[in-house]
Amino acid sequence: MSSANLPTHLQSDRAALDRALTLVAEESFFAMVDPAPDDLALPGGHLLKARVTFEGGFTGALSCTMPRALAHELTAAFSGASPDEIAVADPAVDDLAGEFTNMVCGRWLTDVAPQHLFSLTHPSVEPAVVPGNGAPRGMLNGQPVWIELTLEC
Amino acid sequence: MKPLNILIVDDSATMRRFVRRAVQLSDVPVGEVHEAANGREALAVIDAHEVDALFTDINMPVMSGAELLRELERQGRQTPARIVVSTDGSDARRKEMQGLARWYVNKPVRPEVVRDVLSELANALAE
Repeated sequence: MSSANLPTHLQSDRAALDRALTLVAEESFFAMVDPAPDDLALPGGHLLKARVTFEGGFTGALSCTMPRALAHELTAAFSGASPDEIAVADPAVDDLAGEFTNMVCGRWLTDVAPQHLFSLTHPSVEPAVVPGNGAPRGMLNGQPVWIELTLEC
Repeated sequence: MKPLNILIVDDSATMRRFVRRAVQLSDVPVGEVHEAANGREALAVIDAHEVDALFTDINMPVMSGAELLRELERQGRQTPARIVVSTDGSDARRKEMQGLARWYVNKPVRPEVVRDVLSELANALAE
């Protein structure tokens, strides 16, 4: 898609990402989002990175990286189950990370470009390392979530 | 009141499980609950079973929710009642779905919204 369709405020409107993250976390996962502290200790354990690409009014990709432990916790919250009932390695945990990212991406697009139609790809989910793009977007239930947005210009 | 047979169409198993749970907590009498991972699988379920209400995502591989709804229109089917469940709450998408679906529900889905939709549908079918 051409850059002519790209809303000019998009690159600077990072607050829209925060709104999308907060809405998804609170409404679907009953999770609170807090700012990341400056002295955040990087999490141990495995991280998951889920990525969704979108095409329509403009083109890009959004990814969320989070500790697998957080995805596991959210899977239980989303399913109405106890964390003990779902194994940390269960494929449902990867699926949840993908759906979480899909929701954040969809809410963000709805917020910033309500007049445009978009197609979103099925999320890809893979093991990850701590992103090198700076501080987490926020803390969900005390665990960091990084969001990376790339737009084709 | 006749129990409603439900079909949930989403490529995310987690999302299907969530909608199923919301349906089961809705206080509306529910009969069979079927699941499909895309529009093509959904058409096979609709051909094989009596389905009263269809919850469908839009963005899915193989056959999207929009393609599924258009195919049901092409076949001239009056049932099932169609409910779109999507992350895309844009005006453009809602406009596209007008006439194809009776309800449009945004993800994140709130269980009370599912309950309200099913109550409205059950009442309409009982009239």
